[in-house]
Amino acid sequence: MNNLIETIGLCKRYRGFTLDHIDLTVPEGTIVGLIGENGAGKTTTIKAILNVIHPDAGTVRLMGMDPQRQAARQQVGVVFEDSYFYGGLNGAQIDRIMAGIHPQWDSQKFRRDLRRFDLDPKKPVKDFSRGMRMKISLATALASHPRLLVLDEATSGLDPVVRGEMLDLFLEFIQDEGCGILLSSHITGDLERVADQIAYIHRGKLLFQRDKDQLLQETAIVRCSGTQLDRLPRDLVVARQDGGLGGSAALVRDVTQVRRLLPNAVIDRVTIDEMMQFYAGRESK
Amino acid sequence: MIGLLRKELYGLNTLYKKSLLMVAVIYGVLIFTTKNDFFLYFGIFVMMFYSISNLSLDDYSGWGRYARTLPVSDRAVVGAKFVASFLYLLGGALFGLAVGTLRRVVNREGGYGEMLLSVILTALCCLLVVFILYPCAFKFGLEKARNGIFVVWMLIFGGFLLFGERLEAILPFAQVIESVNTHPWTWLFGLLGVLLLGMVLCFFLSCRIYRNKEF
Repeated sequence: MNNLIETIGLCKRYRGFTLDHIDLTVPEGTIVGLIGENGAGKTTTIKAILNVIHPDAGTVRLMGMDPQRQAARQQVGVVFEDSYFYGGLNGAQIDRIMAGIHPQWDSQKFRRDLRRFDLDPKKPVKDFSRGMRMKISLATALASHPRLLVLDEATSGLDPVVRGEMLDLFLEFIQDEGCGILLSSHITGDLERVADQIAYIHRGKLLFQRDKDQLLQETAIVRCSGTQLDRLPRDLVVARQDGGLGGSAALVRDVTQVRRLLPNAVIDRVTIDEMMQFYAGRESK
Repeated sequence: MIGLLRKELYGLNTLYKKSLLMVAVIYGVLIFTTKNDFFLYFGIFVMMFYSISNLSLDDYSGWGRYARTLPVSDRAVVGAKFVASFLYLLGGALFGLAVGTLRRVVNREGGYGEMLLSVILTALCCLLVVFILYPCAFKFGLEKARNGIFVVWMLIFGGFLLFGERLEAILPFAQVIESVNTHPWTWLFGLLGVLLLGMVLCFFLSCRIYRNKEF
């Protein structure tokens, strides 16, 4: 399976923040969900992948090519939360503009998607609701038949119905095995629904990139007393939170082994949200 | 390139459609009624300021970041802005010439050659200002660049007002004017050459700055 995106040792240094040796991949036929707290480095990673900023170290490959090459960017559709055409333009104008920019631009598909999303091509983008603006951005990204979709917080701020429609579209897009999606989002519920892999960036470092189902199956929250938790081997405990009255909770890996070692402990399934909270709590202590 | 040029022109025309129409009517009337060519040149200045407003639209909409993800070169993105500015100034110059010519025909005035030359030189000077402004704006942002150029402009004019007499004693103005009168074509083509060279340099400088820019 080829990688549509591959970063090796990607670094970008700013005053007060460093994106630190990010090794991230987006294989063909895969939706990779990029999660992390605000300011963790998700957008910086995406910008570096897309040639918007210049990495200080490391390599980035888009479809095996340097992202500075137009041939690489030609196969990518991008939806940013806050970057698009001037809001005074309408769908018909964007269609004509993109027809002169993108060699693979498909006007018919763009107009079809506008109709499908119920967007008036004569109405200026600034008069659309946020959900509609995201839809027209997505229609623009899809109209060039990309192999890779990169979406930065594309579903945030949208109501559940619109979000559901967009997620359905992502699943439809990924039906083609040669395509892939990198989706950065705060709404981890969306990622639990559509993502195949989860990549977690925390304070500029990629903590892990793993298969989502495997991650959620093998990881769990154990609730028991602190002394019981102390009996667990350290390599099984990812993060721990000691509460009052002797009660403690821990994010653990290898649920089967933990269940065998602590047969009386309460073991709950973990969500991605809870996982992030445990990781963030681990560092803050 | 054509798509990028469309983006520049659609943006400006959408934003300034009503303003442009108003400017055309007001300046058209003023050029006609005042019998003064000042407004003929002032229209070109106005178009110069309109044309660089595209940079504000870009900042506002995050276009720079989005454009980097598209399969276009930085040179094409910058080039489209230069061409759009040129077309806007050309439009301003042609409008001024059309109304100025019409007034001269109706009022049976002369001075067609002088008007043509003045319009061309005004348009070229405005174009040079725009071309200087672009690399500065890419480097420091539009507001700083605009203020910077305004200050430099004021210093040059202020300098002439304050030290004009002293400069006249030092610099050979009289000889220059005499030379212009005796060799007008040499001066015209020389000036055009310098302007053209300046524009080419500004374009390549803009491309270089834009290429290193991060959004």
